Amino acid sequence: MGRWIAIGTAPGWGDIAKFGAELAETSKWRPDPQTTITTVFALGDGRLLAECHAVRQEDFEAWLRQRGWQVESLTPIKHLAKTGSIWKVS
Amino acid sequence: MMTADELRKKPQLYYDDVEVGQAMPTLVIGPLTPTHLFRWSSAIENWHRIHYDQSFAIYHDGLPNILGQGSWKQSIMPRYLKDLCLPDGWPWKVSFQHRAMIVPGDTITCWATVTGKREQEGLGYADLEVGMRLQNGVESCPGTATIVLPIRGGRPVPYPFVPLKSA
Repeated sequence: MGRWIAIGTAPGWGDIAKFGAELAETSKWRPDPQTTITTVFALGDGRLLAECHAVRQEDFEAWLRQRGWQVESLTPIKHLAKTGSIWKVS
Repeated sequence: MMTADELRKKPQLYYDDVEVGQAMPTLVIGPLTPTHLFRWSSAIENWHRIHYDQSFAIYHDGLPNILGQGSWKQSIMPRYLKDLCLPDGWPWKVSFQHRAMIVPGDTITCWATVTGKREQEGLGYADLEVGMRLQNGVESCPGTATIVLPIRGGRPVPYPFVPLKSA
């Protein structure tokens, strides 16, 4: 399985009610059993950042299209530090 | 579809009322939250981090989220069968596989369909196909079970139930 980060914008997602409505139900962040949007940040400058765990990048791209994102960049994750632990991702 | 409480309070199920092909009442649980998973890990002292440490589960073990415990599913399925049968029947045996992962946000539907029935020494045996289906239609725990039900006007199912060697 791979992991990617997408940065972009989506209409209305800066509003927390709309943001919540877009992500509240499981099917909205887990579109199929092998694709999970693990995290979405709404940044203070109006942009969004989403992380996806999926078999193929195309599965993430399909979710981004379906949710109406204008994508600036979509990049695989190599490694990361999280609360003091550093993990290689790919 | 029934809640856990409705399933427990339903009228006694009798062998006479069960037919091959019949779908039993389903039990819906969820959406699961991390709190559910943590509570189960605490209860059974299963401290594997994939069940409560989201960062570890996602980034170290490469999972989509923290995972619902297999032992939790192994507790839910017998509970479901028990609630189908009791107070006067008995969930005799069950066997199922762990196929799909269950993660927070998932809603699980426990289901059973009658695949066979037979009467032996005054007791009613019903064979079932069982499973725990996720909200997206994925079957997480396919399996089979046998329950023992009272026959109207017949003898009570012994408590505790001791299976016949020929059953």
